[in-house]
Amino acid sequence: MKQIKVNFKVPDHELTEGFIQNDRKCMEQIYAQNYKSVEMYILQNSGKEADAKDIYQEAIVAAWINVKEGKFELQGGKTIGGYIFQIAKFKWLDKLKSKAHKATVRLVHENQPEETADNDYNEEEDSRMQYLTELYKNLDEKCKAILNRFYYQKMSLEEIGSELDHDPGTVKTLKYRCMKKLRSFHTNNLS
Amino acid sequence: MNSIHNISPEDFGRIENYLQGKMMVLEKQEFEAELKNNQELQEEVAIQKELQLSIEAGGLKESLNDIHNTVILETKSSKNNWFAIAAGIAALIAISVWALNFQSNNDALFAQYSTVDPGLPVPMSASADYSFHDAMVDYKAEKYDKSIEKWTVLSAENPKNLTITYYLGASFFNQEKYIEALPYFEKVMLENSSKFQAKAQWYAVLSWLKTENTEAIKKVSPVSESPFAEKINSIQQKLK
Repeated sequence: MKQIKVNFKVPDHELTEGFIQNDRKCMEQIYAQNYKSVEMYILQNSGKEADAKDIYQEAIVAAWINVKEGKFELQGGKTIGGYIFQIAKFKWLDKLKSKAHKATVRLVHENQPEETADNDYNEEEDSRMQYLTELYKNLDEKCKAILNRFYYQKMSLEEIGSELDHDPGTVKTLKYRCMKKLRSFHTNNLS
Repeated sequence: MNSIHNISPEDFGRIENYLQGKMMVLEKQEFEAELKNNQELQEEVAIQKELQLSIEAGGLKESLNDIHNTVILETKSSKNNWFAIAAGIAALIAISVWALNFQSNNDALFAQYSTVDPGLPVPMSASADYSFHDAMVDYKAEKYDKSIEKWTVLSAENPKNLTITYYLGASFFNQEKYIEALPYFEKVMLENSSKFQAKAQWYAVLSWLKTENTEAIKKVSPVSESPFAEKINSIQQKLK
């Protein structure tokens, strides 16, 4: 049995903005609010706790990308939590289908739930999410330390400098070099 | 602009300022004018945008395990910790008598006031709300594991439905899982529009009694026309 440790403090309408601005409190609240429903859904559909955690975390990243890029708008009763749940459901059904394909072909039509989530999320978006998170993994730890602070945590060059013991000018140069590295990983994939 | 494999610090800086919304109005207008006619620049902007997104998405992914460990606790281990700390305190400082009195005071108050929400009537005919009522049947039969399971899934599909939220809280409450129940009650008690607001507040107070969160109880001011206002006030008096 798990215990959820965060209270519902940030109102829904502020939550989404905080979510795409990478606000830690909002992230924690969203994570806590929606974990159980996804876990329960996956456990009910022949998954394990570890599957639930993986699928859930990827669904959060996918939702974050689409909300950030304006591909998914929260209106007409839609909430960020509902969207994460839908993506998780899509991803899990997708995984079950591919597993079933590998096991026996017969299974697919007999036992697979026919329902698919709304068209709010699709395969193409899913592979883009995978690609973006994998691309970042190519970076060494030094570059991650700088780029993560600047772009993800939205710290200034000065703040990063004082944390990493560099002057702001050095941070700027290092940031440029790291971006060039990341850029070459990316463009090599493109060509 | 250089080839696809190279980019100058100046161009990089300009594109970054543009993407991060850090350009002055005039500078931005100039940049956008240039962007219209310069395909290479367009491609570079697209690339940089993708890189920034990759860093943020990668950063988010990395932080999620940490967030997971912050907000999701295995109940067993947290209980053990709690007992260990409580035992330590009791052994070190001889305030156990006071502590026990305090605890039993809370328990006595809880026993005096606590009630079980009987649930909502279940209509005989099958309706669009079938899943909700199906879970309500489990709730009334005191099969709270089942009602929690069904309402949790339903709640994810209807996150704004406060009736489901409230009864999820009530299911946990009836299982004596007060810490799990509280977030649901706290969510509903903040919503003026919900007909469950007063009830949610009342069950939150009872849950706080059980979890010895006296501070939270003291801060409560009963919602208007709450049938529980008197009870809440009298609990607050007794806790002083």
